[in-house]
Amino acid sequence: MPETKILYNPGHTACGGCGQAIAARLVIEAAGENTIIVNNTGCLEVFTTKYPESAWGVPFIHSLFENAGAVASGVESALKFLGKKEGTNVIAQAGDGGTADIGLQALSGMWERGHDILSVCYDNEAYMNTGIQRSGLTPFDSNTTTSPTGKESFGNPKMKKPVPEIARAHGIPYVATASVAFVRDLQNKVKKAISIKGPKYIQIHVPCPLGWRHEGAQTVTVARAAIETGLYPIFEYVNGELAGVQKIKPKPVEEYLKLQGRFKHLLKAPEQIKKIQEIADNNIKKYGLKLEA
Amino acid sequence: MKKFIEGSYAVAEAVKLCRPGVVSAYPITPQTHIVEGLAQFVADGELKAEFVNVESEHSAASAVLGAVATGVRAFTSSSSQGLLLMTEVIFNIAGMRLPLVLACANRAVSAPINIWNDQQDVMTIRDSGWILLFAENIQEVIDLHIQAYRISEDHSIMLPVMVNLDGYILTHGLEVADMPSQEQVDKFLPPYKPLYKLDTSDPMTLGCLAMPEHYMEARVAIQKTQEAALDFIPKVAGEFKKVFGRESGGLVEAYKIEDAKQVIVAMGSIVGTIKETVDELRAQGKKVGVLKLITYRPFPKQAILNALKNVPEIAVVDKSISLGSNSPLYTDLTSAFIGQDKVSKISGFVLGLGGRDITKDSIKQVFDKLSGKQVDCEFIDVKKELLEEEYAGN
Amino acid sequence: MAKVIIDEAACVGCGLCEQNCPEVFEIRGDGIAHVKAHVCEQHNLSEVADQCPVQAIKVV
Repeated sequence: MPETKILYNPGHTACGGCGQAIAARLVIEAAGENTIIVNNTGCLEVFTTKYPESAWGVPFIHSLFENAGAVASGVESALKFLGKKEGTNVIAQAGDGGTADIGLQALSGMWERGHDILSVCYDNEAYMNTGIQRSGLTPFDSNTTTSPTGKESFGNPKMKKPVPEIARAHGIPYVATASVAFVRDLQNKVKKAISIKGPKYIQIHVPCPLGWRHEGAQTVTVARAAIETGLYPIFEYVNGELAGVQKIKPKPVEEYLKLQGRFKHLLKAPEQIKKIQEIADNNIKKYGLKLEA
Repeated sequence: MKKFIEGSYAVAEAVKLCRPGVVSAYPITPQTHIVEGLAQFVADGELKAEFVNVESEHSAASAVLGAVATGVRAFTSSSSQGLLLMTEVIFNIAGMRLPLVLACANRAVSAPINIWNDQQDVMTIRDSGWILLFAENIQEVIDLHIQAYRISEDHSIMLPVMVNLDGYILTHGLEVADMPSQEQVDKFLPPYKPLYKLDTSDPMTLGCLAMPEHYMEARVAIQKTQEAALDFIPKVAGEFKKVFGRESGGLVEAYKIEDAKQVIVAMGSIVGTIKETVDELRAQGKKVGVLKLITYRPFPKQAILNALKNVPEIAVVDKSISLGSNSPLYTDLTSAFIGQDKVSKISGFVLGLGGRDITKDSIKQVFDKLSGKQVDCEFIDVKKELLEEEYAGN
Repeated sequence: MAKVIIDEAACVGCGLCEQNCPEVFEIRGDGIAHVKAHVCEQHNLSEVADQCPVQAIKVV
């Protein structure tokens, strides 16, 4: 029996319970060995490619913080030139900062030009690699080092940048959100994405025990709670049309917030919790998340 | 075939002959005709390549980085603000030891915004590990691009090469130049054979994290390669002569310096003006000459010392300035003389910033001032009234 | 038989044709190009004519 090739090796230096480490392995195992990974600067490339070791069993390139979209465009163009694009997947991956903030321009260009590339965002909702600073995907009222709680602050005053909507607005054929809470769904979405020609985007919710302040063993529990409260809707846009919505029996947002240190200041601020409940309710309405009896 | 051709289109045609598989660039004056020329070749089927219209220079450099990392010869071009925007990618490409050729249409750097020629842009990346070549005229523009690929892709080098051509003067000027045939270029430049690449049949990780235990040696290795390039670049020029039948490229070119009492050292199109001025002054009996640097990085210290060893007065002419200190070429050249038994008088002059016209009179001023007191950094053709009235108190 | 014709009014005397094919083209004392011969074994005369910056050369 042929030996199964390991595409993502254990022994890397991620924190115990890191959601991104789990998701990255699931992604590459779903995509398979005929895949080239282009990775922005962030936790993932730092903990998987510390010279002289690498966790990757597939071709992997890390360049800079914001350019995975552009480097991947170059890789894909080179494969096209060589006549090798058919049968080779190209995945451009980054954290939330590298996707929604500094990397958005390159991604937008890549999507607009229609490159046959899957872009994956590992959304742990802050710049974790540099020490938990606020990003464009940091949720409302989240405590980060650059949106700290204080005498006059409840944390991040802004909403998450709707990157899946931005991706959809580019007219790309496939957009999806996913989570480490639902492994099979995540891997199915990766497989579906790479079967489609053109630009694809998958945003994966990945808890960060260090940044969100919860036990490493709680990662999947926390991720699940995000979905069950409606705060992280799981859905697909196939050719711009809403599809594949993961329905929920909505739980109150406290069920999610109380699990994490980054939200603990809210437990004494019911008016803030009300605002967050509104966010969840809006998501439930917009994406039709509620499971009807 | 000799052509009467605009510098930018000469770049496009020379690059076309080198058969890149991926071209990616972002428009910026005065580089635009280079990429427009290449786009037309692709559109007409004359160049089989993927042409990637990116949304910024940072992405242009990143796209060609990705292409070369995948084993395909690539090309990009920029200038001024665009070069500065791609600066971190410039360092990345050299640090990752990826071969690439970039044409830089040298232009002044903002602020104030100015689209005309000087060499400040390339000076901002002189520490990056790129090999830096400077063209005097359109023939050199053509020849240096072809040599650049050969230098860059050799397994003993594996460093990117920037060919610098003065914006507007060379990009938009027209000259007669010989455009080689495809057969000649194919004979001189073999297909790119990567030392390492992204390939699913042989996976590798590129762009690792290097801890303090590992980073320094990666940088020392580039320094050693730059030193090796001092021998390799003339070797390539020799190979070029065999195939194309002309002297072109190499480290330096000496013009009438054998018995010169005064020599100007300079790079780029200004050398043409200096050569004409030298001829005029020689006709009047003045023993003057010019030393042209074709290669700036690696810095050809020994070639310069050999050329200038008997020259009592040397003027370095820069089209850039390290504000707060002296000019780059002056700084490099003066340090070359440290520890030498005989040290000439060396003065530094700055001309032509922001496209300020450089005439034969400007050059004569340099020779005149060189006869006087030694100066580190004197600006030529400065408008005193503007400085005193408009900029006083800034 | 092929014939090379130079439009003398258009010619600016740049000398490019003479540089490319001295067998056929010659800049004379009047400062413009003239035809010495109408054939050349070594050079493609249509290509040489294409390089004239003022399109003064016709190969008929």
